[in-house]
Amino acid sequence: MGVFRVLLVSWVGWFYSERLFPRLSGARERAIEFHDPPSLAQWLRLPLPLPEHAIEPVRQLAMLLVALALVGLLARVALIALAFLNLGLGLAVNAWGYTAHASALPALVLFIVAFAPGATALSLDALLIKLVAQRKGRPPPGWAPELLPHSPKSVWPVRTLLVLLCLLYFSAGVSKLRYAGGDWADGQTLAFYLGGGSKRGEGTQRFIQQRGDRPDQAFRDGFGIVDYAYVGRPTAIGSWLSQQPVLLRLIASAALLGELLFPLALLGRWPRRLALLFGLLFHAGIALTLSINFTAYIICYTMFVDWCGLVRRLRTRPTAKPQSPLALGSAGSTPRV
Amino acid sequence: MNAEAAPGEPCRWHKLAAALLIVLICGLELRAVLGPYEDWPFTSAPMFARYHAPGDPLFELAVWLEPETGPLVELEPDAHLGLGELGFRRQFFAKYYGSTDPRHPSGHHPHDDEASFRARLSRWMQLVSRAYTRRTGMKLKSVQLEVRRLSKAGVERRPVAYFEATSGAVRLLPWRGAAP
Repeated sequence: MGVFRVLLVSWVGWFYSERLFPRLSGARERAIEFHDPPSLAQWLRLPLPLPEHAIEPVRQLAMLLVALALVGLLARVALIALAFLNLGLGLAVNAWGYTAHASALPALVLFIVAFAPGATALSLDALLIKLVAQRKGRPPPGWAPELLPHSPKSVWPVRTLLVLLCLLYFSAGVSKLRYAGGDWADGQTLAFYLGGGSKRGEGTQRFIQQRGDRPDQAFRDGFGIVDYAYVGRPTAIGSWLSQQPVLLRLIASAALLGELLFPLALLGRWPRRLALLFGLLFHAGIALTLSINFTAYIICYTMFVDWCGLVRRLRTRPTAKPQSPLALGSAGSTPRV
Repeated sequence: MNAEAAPGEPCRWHKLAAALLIVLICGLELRAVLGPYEDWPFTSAPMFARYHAPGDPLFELAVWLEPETGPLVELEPDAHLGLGELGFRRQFFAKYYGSTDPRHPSGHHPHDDEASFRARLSRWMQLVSRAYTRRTGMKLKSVQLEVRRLSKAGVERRPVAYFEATSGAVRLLPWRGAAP
């Protein structure tokens, strides 16, 4: 969990400097009449939008918390504060009509990590406590974080992430069936997006039409507009793929099947490995073809790696019994919930 | 359960707190999935789910502003309101215009009808008028909504609604082609 903390918080730091705070700074120019925060911001009665004069102090606080959480100094406090601050910042940025999906999962996972046992391993806190204990000639206290833990402390964080992923992917699959039926698997929708039918940053937002005849719902304009087109930036690979109908059909079917069957990951070893492999390939494929950055999701997948087990394997002799690299399936580590 | 746990075993309060956190996160995500809702950070993941083939028509929702003095100008969200193109149009579509899907994840409009549609458009066009005037100092005479159908056959334009800034009233235009 300590390794995962470092990876996730590193991404958060990058995200703040490259995406979030530039967008937040731009908010001062926006017409306040169109400020529409997500439900969570309204339930919590957050003081949004952030006043202009508060953005820079908040940015400095955020980067300080990122630094502390990254190196693991006052790690638990920094993680909890960062999780709450990140949630508030995300609610602030997503209050103008656009939902940034790429930052949604990491915001939830940050909460999991903030309260997860073992998240403060591999930290300056652990090192300092160990050094102080050595000076006093005593072992570190029982509550102290381990510098290099021998086994995971608990599985609930990993299982919670798995449940979240199951909900997200299954919902994505159900959405496709609900809105398009099995026809989505014919690959034509993919062909549209990969062929540049709705490019990010080019022209105005476009919309698509309801399939099938619904005269009762076409009263607005006679056309029956059902949704906005999503956007992407097709790469050369994506453009080439848009001209390959057989491949498109295969990829679309695989994507739909993978999403609908992802909850099987809750069952056990090889379904879980297949599901996680699907997820990794899925997001890598989206990045390679549509330039949509889901790096944070791929980082979240590293929570499933049994880092303790890997370190043990590196330390033990080659004759030792091999163990699964996946945290949930490790035979040698039996963490308590 | 005894609050005091064995060494290495989390205490009862830790277990309760972990359970509460898990229920909260997963429960709110489940709410979004079932809604369905697009409600950051919770989402039903509807991205790219609607069927649309290459060659199918696309649509644009164009807004025209008529200042008290000066020519008709097409609203550019960034230039006129400081808003991003995607966020502005998507918010308008989902919350005010309304999808033919009454349970669109970004805006539910069950049992929608012309009266509700007109009322929502009126509210939104008042916001546009107010924001534009505040930012530019120019008062508006009207705000007009036009739907454009883009296809291989060309562009078909349908005026849909006309908002009179002075009275605040919205007139829905017969979409069979009448002009204001």
